[in-house]
Amino acid sequence: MSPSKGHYTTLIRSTKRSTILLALALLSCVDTHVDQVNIPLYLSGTELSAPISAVGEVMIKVDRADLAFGPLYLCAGVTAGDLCQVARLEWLDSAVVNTIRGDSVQVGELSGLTGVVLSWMYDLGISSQLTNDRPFILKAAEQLEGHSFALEGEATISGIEVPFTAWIVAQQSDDTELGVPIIRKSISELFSHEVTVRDSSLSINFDPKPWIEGLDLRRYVTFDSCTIDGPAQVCEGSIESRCDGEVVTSSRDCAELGQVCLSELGCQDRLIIEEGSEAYRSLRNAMIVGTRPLFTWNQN
Amino acid sequence: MTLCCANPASPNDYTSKSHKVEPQSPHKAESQSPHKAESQQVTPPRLVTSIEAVYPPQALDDRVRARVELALTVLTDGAVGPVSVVLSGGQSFDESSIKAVKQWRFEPARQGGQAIESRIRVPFDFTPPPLQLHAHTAATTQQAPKETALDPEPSDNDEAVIDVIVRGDRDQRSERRSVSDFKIERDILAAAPRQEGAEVLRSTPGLYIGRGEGPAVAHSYMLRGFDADHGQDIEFHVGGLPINMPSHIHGQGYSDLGFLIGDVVQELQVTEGVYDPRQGDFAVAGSIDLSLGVKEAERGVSMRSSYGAWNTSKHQLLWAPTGGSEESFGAVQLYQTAGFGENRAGQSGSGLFQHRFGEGALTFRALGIAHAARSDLAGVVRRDDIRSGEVCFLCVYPYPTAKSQNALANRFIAGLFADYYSADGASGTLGFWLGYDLFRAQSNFTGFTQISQSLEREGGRGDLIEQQNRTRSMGLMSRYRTAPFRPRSWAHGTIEVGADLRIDNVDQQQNLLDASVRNQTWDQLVDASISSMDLGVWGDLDWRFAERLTLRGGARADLLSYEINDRMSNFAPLTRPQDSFISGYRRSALGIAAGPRMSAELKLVEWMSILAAYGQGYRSPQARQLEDGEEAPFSIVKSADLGARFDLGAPLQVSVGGFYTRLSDDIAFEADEGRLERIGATERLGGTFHAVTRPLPWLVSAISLTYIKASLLEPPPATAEEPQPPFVKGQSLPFIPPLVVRVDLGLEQAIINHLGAYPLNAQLGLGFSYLSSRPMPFSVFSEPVALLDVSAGLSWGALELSFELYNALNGQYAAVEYAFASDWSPNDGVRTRLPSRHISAGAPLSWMLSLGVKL
Repeated sequence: MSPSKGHYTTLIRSTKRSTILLALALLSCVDTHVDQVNIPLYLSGTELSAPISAVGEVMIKVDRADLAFGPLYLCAGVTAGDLCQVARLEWLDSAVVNTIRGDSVQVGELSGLTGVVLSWMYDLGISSQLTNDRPFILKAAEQLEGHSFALEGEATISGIEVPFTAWIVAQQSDDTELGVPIIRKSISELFSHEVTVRDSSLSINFDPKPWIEGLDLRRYVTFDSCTIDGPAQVCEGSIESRCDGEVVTSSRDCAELGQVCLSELGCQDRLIIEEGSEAYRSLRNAMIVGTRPLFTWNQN
Repeated sequence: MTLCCANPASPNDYTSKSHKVEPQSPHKAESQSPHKAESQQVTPPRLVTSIEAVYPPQALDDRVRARVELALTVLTDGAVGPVSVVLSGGQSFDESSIKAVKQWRFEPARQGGQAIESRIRVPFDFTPPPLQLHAHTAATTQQAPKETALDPEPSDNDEAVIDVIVRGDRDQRSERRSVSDFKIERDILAAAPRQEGAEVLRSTPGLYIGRGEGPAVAHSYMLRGFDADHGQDIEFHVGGLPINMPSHIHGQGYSDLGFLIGDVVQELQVTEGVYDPRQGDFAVAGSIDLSLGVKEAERGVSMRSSYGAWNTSKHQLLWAPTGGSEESFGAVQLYQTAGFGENRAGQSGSGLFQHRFGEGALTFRALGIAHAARSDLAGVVRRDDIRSGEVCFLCVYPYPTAKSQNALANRFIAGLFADYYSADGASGTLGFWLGYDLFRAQSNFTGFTQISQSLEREGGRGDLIEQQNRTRSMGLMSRYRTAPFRPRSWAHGTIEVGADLRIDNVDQQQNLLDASVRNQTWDQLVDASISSMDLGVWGDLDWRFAERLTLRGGARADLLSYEINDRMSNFAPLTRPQDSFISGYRRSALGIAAGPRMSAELKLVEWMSILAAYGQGYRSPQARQLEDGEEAPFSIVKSADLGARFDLGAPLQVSVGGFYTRLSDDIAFEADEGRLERIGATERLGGTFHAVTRPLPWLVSAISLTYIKASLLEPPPATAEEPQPPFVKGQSLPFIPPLVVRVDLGLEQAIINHLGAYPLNAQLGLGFSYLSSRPMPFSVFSEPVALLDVSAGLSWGALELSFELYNALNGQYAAVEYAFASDWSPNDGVRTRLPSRHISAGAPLSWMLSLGVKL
């Protein structure tokens, strides 16, 4: 006599239940020394109490310094990059961190395994993968209109206040390692932590001040006059002059228009630091290889 | 070979002559395989109970005389096994003779005190009853079986006419070395349904085999705490031919048993541990010798066709002429399937041929095996992708690099063996074999993570690893065991010496292919040729004292030499143009591995023995990993066993024991490379329970439980290339199931004694395998596996019909499971770099219907 369907189902369930109980009993004897963990990740910036003194005693007052951050990998080896094919912890999401605000914001959880981590690597909202020619623009970068860093403020150059904007894209190029995050701990940097189940959170603190301190905006404000071999347009402070050789054909005071006179650009509402400019490269390089964020592990 | 002959029986009224089998004194006996030692002398079977055959009623009218000669097997419990008709007297006389003889009981034949199966020939002479009797009545009055207490001395007047053929061990190991030596006999192998021939191995205690990579790639084996992968830790022989292939690109000791045809596997001789000097390379977890043949009762020409789920069909032709040696046969099998899920279609064909020839002390055996298989592979899928619905359990990822996975295997191996057995008990074997193997596989374990080293800034084209391996092998094997030496009345023994030689030439390549561009090669990883030689010599002493204590001890040494032409070594990537030289690294290495093997058996009482054993064996290195001049760093295994064996005859045989094994340098699967990599020293501590019971002539069952605690002792330190080793000191060994259970159950009984001209026999079979949850790398655990296979069959005359269910509980299980990092979401943005569980699905519930004809 064949068993009924219900009987058959009960038999299967009973077998599976027995199997699971047996497996649990056996696994209680197994010691693996490695645990899976999920560790909350907090991001924070650094309050700026005063304008930043940049190159050439240019004072910069920062109004906005939003950074797209993520993904993040923490690795067991002393160098990351291609040698971190298997990560210990990872956070695959992205978030915008206001780097001039000191309060921590939880943006997600790192997931992975316990054990020593000796290096890290991350992207700034734009992540290149082996499988795509174009990098992925993550949601944090989307919030910054496809950029990694949005820096806005006012620079006082030779007494002239110049509002500026620097929207930086940090992504892979032909010079960077293929298919791995663009920012990686170098072998000479110290970073070591044993991840345990007692770790309650990881806080990463960004301080944009060192990046901005390296900015040289002096060339945008000039005190030039018309010369025989000079450009057709010059700025002398806030005065924009059009030249025909040494002869000034016309001039205007940009300040009266609520603008600033920028070298080679003339009267502009604000200084937009364009990709390819020295200031742009300086800021991008500072973000990629300059001063690192501070990693702080918190434990229960 | 005829052992003795007696006078023909005289006619006996209306019944046939009841033939008595008289005890033979040992010195008269001349077995087919003369004794290796005095202690192994053969005693023929002795008839204990008989009933007479009845003159068939339907023949009364003709009143003819008839003579029938039957060949019957006397089982080790004294029951009568398979019976075949040697000389037919007509159907009714044949049936009457068979019916009678099936009820006879014997004292079984013995060899060295151990009950063994024997084959005897019994003639029946039928004489019609006197006319004054009511024939019909008389003929149908069945006599009750009567006890026949035989006179132990032969009687001139009543001596039986019999031919007795006692099958002794040929070149198998003479005795069990430890409590973990198992002989799995044909009735156990035939009890449970097997989807393919190699599944007979599942009846081995502590062994599990999985088919994770389709019919063209070797099984994955696990034995007694060893993840033997494709055979790295188990030394396989089939009919004396070595199966493991050294330095194979897909795994050290690669052993593809896909060629096996289950009906011709007669017996498994399993030695778990390393206690016999004959055990050579790869005998780390142990050795399994599969002997081939077809028993007399099953001989003839048979054809069987099977059809089942997933459009699977199997056709088998077996040719084993009756009256021939049980070792002689030819068998062919063709198989094809659409597969139980995506990308799993496959075809294969196998041919096995074996012939024993020659007479007298020197006989010869020729054996040939040919096999070809090709299949698509589904590869692995991530468990988290299954959970999220990205891919189904039986599916394959929807990318060309996943759908292009497949494998091809061709193998031919043939050998010629000369066996010598002298009358004084000495024996020897000399064998020569040749082998050719071609393996090619395209498999992708990791998705899209690889970067080309050969091409500048190329990556993410799919990690479709192409592996090619071509091995040409030849070898010699020889052994000689002396005649028994008896210096004292209470002590006697033998000495065996032997030597094995094998030479292999291996060509292997490993590349990365881009499946979306007609398998364009986008990186070259391995291009090497290897020439290797393995010369092993051994000596073995076997001494018995007062028939209570047996000591066996010996040693084995193997010399292995390698010449490696590694054409990809010293490769300079294009990104380093300043390193301008021609890549390649040619080197040589040589090493010697030697170790003792010893065992002791103390027979406390007739039915109970205590066994202890210790031995040291080795596994050869993967040649391509050797440095120039390096003393080949063998993986040395030391194992010890202690246990007891209880032999209560056919009703119950039990083995209980514990074992400890330490391996100096283990290896485990590395997904990035699709092959095995070193993981350091390991140990196993465990125990095995094994019981075989044949309580009734129609019932056989076997159960085994093996529990293992396997630990990693000294993992390799982190390196720049491997900063985060997946293994840590003290962890449970990955992939090793702590508990392995196996149950085999078979029933066979005539359910209708006369259905037309033949009885109708029914068979039921059951096989159950359980594998507990296994620890994996990176602190994850696999699901347990529980597989139940059942079968039911009928046989009537020449016809056989059977129905089989595999995975009858329809459990969703992984044939193999790994943990590593992969990227199977090439278009979904950021890739994860965390290790994840990956499975290769095992087959769901499936069925097969078979119809066979035997002529």
